[in-house]
Amino acid sequence: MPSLAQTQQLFWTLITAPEGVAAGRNALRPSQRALADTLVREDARLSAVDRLDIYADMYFYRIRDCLKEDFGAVCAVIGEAAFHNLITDYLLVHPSTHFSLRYVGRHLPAFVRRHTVGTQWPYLADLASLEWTILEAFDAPDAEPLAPAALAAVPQERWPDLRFTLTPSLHLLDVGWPVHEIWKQAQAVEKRVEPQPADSCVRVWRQDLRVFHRPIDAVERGALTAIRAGAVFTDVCEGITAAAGETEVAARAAALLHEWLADELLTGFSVSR
Amino acid sequence: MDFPFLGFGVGLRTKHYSEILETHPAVDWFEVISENFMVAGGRPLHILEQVRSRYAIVLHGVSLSIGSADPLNPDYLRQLDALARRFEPAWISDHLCWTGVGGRNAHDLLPLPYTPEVLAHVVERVRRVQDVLGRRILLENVSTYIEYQDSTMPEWEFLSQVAEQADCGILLDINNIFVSAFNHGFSAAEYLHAVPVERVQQFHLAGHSDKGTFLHDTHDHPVSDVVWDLYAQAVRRFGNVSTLIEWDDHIPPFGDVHAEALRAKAIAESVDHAQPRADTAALLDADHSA
Repeated sequence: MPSLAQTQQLFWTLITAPEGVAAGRNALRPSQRALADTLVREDARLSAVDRLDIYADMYFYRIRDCLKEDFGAVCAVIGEAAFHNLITDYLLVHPSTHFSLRYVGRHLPAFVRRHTVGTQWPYLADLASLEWTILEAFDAPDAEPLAPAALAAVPQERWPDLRFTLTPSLHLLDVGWPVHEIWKQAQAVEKRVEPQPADSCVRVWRQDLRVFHRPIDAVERGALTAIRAGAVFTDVCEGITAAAGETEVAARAAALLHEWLADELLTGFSVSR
Repeated sequence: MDFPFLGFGVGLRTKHYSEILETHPAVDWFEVISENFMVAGGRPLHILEQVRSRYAIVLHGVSLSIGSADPLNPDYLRQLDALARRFEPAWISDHLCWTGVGGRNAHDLLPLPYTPEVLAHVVERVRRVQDVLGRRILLENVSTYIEYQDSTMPEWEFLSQVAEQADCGILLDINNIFVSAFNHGFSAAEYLHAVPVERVQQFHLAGHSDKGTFLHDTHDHPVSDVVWDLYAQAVRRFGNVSTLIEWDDHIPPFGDVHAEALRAKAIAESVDHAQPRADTAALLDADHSA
């Protein structure tokens, strides 16, 4: 009698065979094939293969349906049939290794980049990255937003040494295509405009339990990246100066702070000395 | 066993969040899928906090993989324990099955060979899980579409033995018994009568689909009349057991699902119990007089 591990490994091999249980069985080594043929009872209603195919279908369709929810825009762009084939290929390389279905799509953006769909739709990997990042922001740790009054109470002379903390749901996504527009078009049924490549950075964050995303310019990207790296406010402003110019720095820094507070990107601050 | 009678509940599903939080329907309790709330933050946990503030909940997992040849996942158990400490469920349940092997997860409830060796394997693991969680768990019978040639005992014997030897409870899914009985040609009534009364602490009810050559546990229909009949038989044998309606696909408005729970309640109250339970009878009486 095979061990439990052998039985389960064989069961797994059969139900995850991309072309169905019969093909999976035929691809087995002879010794394994003999085990497969005595694995499951059959009756007049259903053969052993028919019965195992029920599990094979459930395996694939449950994960495909989950990924279709997580990557709805990708599916909308390439269509149901291409998405089905993409997920078939994906699961062969990246079967789920996490106990939660929540993480089954974590390798899909990188996989799309290498897959033929990534050649046919060159913006698809960036779009998949955006959708995955939205999911990451959706259930990122909670954090109380910084109250503007708390910041207003900081004496002016302490400002250069302020270090801000950013909300854990904030992600900065560097992309080569205007994925925020492609994502928006994919949500609607309207005719899509063929996008043109354009380097940009998309800011993804959660506010009031909802996930938002929008493109940001190089100045904001640089400032947020510096804050995340632990830069004090005076160094953040130097970065803004380098990107936007001496005359713009005060107005731009004030505008960014105002916006970040409104979007609840800031969750706290410390003063380094 | 020390499980309270919660009444007649409904599985908490995303589609119903708004309605539940806005209208606070008079449902007895909610069962939540544990894994959906094993996240760092955001809306799911926010919703669960609010639901828990008004209702009793039970954590129902799908990833314990108690029958896998793989080692138990300590990270999963740690997160489950943390979730339980935070939300204080009435109990924790999962399935008598395996969900993956070799570090890979099928996200499906896969059937086990019913042999003495596998029984010993599962019993030892249930004990360890209960030690980690510091409480007894319930294990649910799953719908199955295959039987292993190597099995040497019927499912009801395997389930009963796991519960007795590991000292855990049973979540008896009435629909799953009906589905598996049809799929394998055994008697659902025989199944019911073989399971030890004192181990059964919860019932599940759900709809299935008739695929012609087999029944599929799809959870996308109302409970079928034949399953309601089987439920009445179960209540006669097991007494008033906390009962829950599962509906996972083509989910109707909350009121429709709740109506199924109320139908279960009406059946439970109309059945002449062969095995009244002191603990549950007292609660039912209190409920009636309210």
